[in-house]
Amino acid sequence: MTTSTIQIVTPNQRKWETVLLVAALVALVVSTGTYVETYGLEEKPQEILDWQISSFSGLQGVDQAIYNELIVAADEVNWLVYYNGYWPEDKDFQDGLLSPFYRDLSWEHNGSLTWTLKNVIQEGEAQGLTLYHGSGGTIENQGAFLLVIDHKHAGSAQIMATNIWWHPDRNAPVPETSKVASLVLHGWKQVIPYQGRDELERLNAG
Amino acid sequence: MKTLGKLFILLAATMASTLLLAAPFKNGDRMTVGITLHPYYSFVANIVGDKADIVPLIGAGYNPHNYNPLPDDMKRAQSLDVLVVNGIGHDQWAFEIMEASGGLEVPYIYANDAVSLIPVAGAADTSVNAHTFISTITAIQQVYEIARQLGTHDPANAEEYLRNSRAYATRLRKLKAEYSQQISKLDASNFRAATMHGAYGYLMQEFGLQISAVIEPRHGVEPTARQLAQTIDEIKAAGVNVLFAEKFFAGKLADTIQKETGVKMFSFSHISDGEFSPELFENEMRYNLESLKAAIESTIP
Repeated sequence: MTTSTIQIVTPNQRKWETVLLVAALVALVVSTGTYVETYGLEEKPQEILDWQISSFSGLQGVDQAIYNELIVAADEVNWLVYYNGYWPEDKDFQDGLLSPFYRDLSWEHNGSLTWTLKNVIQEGEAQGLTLYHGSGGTIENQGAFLLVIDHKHAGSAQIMATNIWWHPDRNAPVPETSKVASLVLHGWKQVIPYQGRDELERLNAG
Repeated sequence: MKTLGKLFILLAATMASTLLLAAPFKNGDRMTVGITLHPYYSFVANIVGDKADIVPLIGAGYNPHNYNPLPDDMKRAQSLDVLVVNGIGHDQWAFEIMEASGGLEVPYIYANDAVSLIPVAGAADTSVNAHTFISTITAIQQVYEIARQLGTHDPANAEEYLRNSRAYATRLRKLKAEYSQQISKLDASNFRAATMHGAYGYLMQEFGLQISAVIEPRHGVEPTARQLAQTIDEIKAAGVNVLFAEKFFAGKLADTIQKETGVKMFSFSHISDGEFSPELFENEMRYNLESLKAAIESTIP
């Protein structure tokens, strides 16, 4: 039969062990924090100015839905001008089933906006502005929209620049002039989309 | 005679190499377009018609959510002239394949470049919904973007690509209009839906409908027992009466929810299964719209 003895071994510098461990932890946290602060990648949020609104985080519900249809429609309006030689009107939109102008279920659910073409405002022979104004929605908190197409002729080519504006008042009238300053003054906000290219930039930065 | 034969071979070889040098694409006169996800096969097929070849980067039977690249993928990647990608989180593996194959010089077409994105409906955070390929409106915008970009790589067929893209977009609009008309005749005032995947925000948005809750905000990640219990409580509290599961979803979890809450179960297609085909997107969207219509009908008292 054997007997065993238990021997308790205490650290050589017992009183310093805890202090050293805490000091090492503090040093680790501070150095990691400093490194991240200095070299860490910063996720830059999309810049939205006072007179703008984000389609991603600013517009809600039906306004966001209408905007997302309108941004696609803007592409098709340009096609229709190219092929037909005139700015599409209500009949063209109904024939082409083009949302958000086409009066279908989503148009109804999104407040049945009335869309009017404010014809080309000539600013000289070589350029002009065309507006599609959507207002009079039936949903209490929805806004009004303005699709502004700025077109310039460069030789035989036509350059189109499209902007979409939103007003919190669903009955906001079409402004007399569509200069940016005037729109802003009358409470219109330029809608800034968060697009695939923005997300791609964010993913690449990460 | 022997010398004449040698001369002939030399002449043929010179002509062949000249032709290859003049050919604008890796495989000769026809562009080879790579795609990542099923819908992009349909989009590209309808844009290019018979003017280009389409090569899916991965096989049809793999789940694109958690795909791990295989050696064969690298070979396919090397044959591409251009690659069409979702690019916003749904096919990040494609970039790994291209990098591994040394095919980094292959230009990408980012289908979502101009698409206006929305957050994942029902999710706690405001993460981006990458499922822009499950909707007709966002599909149309991607089709236009792809057509424009393909035209810059293949200028000889650019005009045809744009013409085809408009014809395809018109077909998609007709599909949407067809169901919009049918659904508009239904009383949707009692329709309150939840989905089992946060993929269907764009689809619901284009019909002016809302998603009240998402059971599984991340695809392939099943909720824990606690999360499930919480979701069941949320469904009960929200008064949800319809739940859309995934088309090929194993029904155990769905059955539990149906039993506990009394909701009616339907399913949506994620459009990421089956053989690649030009018609796949339209067929699967039709399935989704039929499902949506049936779900609304089921809520009419």
